[in-house]
Amino acid sequence: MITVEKLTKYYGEFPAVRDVSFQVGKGEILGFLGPNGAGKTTTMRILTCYTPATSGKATVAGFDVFTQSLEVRRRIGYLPENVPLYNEMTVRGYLLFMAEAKGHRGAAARKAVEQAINECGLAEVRNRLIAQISRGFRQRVSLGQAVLGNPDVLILDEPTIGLDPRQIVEIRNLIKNMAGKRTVILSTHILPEVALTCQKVLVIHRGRIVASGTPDEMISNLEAVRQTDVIARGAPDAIATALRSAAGVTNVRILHKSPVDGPSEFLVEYAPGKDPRGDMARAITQGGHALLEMRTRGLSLEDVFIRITAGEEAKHAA
Amino acid sequence: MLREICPVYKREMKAYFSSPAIYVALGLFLAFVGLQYHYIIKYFVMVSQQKMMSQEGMYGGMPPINLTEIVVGSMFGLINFLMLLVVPIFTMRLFSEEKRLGTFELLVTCPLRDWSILLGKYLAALTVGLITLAFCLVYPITTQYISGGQAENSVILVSYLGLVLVVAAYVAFGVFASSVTENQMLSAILTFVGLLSFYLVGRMDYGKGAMLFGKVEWADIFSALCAYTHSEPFSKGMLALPDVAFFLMFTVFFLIITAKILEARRWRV
Repeated sequence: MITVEKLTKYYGEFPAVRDVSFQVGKGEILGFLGPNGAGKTTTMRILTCYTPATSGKATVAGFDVFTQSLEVRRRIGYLPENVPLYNEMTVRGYLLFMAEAKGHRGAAARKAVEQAINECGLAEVRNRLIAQISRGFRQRVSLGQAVLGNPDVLILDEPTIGLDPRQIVEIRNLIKNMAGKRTVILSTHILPEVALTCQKVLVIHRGRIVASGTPDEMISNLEAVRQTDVIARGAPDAIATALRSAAGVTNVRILHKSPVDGPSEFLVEYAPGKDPRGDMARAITQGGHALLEMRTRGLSLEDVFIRITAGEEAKHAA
Repeated sequence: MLREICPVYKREMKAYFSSPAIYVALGLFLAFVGLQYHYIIKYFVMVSQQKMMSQEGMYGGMPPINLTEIVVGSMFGLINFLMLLVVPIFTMRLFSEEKRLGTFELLVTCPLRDWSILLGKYLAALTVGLITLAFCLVYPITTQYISGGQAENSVILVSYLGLVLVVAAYVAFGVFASSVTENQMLSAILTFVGLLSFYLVGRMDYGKGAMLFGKVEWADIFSALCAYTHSEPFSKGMLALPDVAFFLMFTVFFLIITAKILEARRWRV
C-alpha cells in the first residue's frame, strides 16, 4: 500500500530524514517510534504531500506523492500533530466542510459525516462549537475528519499526545478497530502504545531508521537490561556495596543520598535472564540496613534510546 | 474547479460572519462615511448658497457648481481611501490564521488544488468588500432623492464600477500579504502600507527631469503604477481602458504571486 524508498529531506543544511525505506501492506498498522525531532513528522508530511522530499521516492496506493499528489491526497486521511481545528465552527459543520473539501457532495457528504460521528463517538458534541469541547473530543473530531469517506490510508501524527489516560485508551481502541480495513501509519514517542496498537514498528532517530520489527521483537531486543529501584535506610555507600555483591547485578547508581540515616534511593541494573532481587534484599538486611521498598521498572523509551543511539554513535565514530 | 472552490468559499464566509472583526470594521466604516456624507452635503449647500448670493449681487463671475462633481466625486475619493483601511481587516485572516493554527497543513493535504483554495478565499474576501460597497449605495440614492435626480446617473454608475475594480485589486493584494506571514497584525499592516504606497506613488513631487535611461521620466512611471491616478477618472464618469486594465492586471498579478507562494511549499530544493 505504501512504499518508501531512500527518502531524504533536508531543511537547508539540516537533514531531517535520511535514506528512509520501508513498506506497509494493506490493512497493517505501522508504528513510528522516535523522540521529538527524529523525523517522524517530516516523513508523514512527505507522505501526505505537504512537503516534498529532497530525494528518494514514495508511493501511496501506487501513486507517486510528488507527481500524482492529488490522487494520493484523495486516498489519505491525515491527523496532523497539533490537532488543528477551526474553533468558530460546530463539530458537524467542520466535518461537513472537510467532507466537501475531500470531494464528497450533498447526501454523500452528509452520510460520510454521520459515519465519522458514529465511528469516533461524537454524537453528544455534534452541535457544539469546537472552541468549547474538551481536548479529548478535539482529538476525536480530528480523527473523525481523517476517517471521513473511508480513505485507504490513515496517517496519524501523535494521535494520543496530550490526552488523559482514559482518553488515550479510548483513542487506541478506536485506532485498533480501524485496522484491517485500512492501512494506518501512526507516530508516537510512547513505547507501550506501539506495543498495544501496532503490528510493525520502526524506530527512527536523527532521520534514520535504527531498528524495526514486530513490537514483541522490539521490546525483547531493546530490553537488554532490567532495572530495579531500591529504597533502603542506612549508610548509602555501604548499601550500594552490598547491592553490588548480589550475583548478576551489573550496575548500581545512588539516586538520592540521605544525609543522616534516612531513606536513600538506588537504581540497580541486571541482565534480563537473571533475577538477583532475593540476593539484593538479603545483602541489605544482613548488612544491618533496613530495606524499605523495591520496585522493578519497565524500560522507558528514553533509556532504550540512550542505548540505541549510543550504539549508533559508537558505530559512526568507528 | 468550482466543486473545489465552493466549500472553501462557504467556510470563509461563515468564518467572516461569526467573528466580530467584520462587524466592527463595517460599523466604523459606515459611521465614518455617513458622517462625511453629512459634511459633503452641508458644504454643497453652503457653496450653492454663496453662488446664489453672488448671482444676486454684482459679481456673476463664480464658476458653475456641479452636484455630481462635488458630491459623487468626493464620496468616491472618500470610499476609495477608506478601502485602504478596511480591506486589510477583511484579508488579514485568510492565510495567516490558517498558518498560525496549523489548519493550513490539513487544508492543503485535502485533495484541493492550490488555485481552488486561493480563489475560494479571494472570492470570499471580495464578497465582503462588495457587501461593504453595497451598503454605500444608500448615498447615491439619497443624493438623487434630495436633489430631485440632478446628479448624473452615468457618472454614479462608472464610479461604482470603478470602486468594484479598486476593491477587487486591493483584496488581491491583501490575500497576497496574508500568505506571507503567520501574523495577522503584520499581514494587515503590510496590506495597508503596500496599498498606501500604490495609492500615493504617483502623487509625490519627484521634481522634473529625473529620467530613466535618459528617455522616460520617473514621474511618468510612478504615475503609471499609481492606484490613485488610475482610479480618479472613474469619479468623473470616465471609463478608460488603461484604467480598467490597470486594476484587472493588478488583481491577476497579485493572485498569481500568491499562487506561487502557495506552490513554493512543494518545490524540491
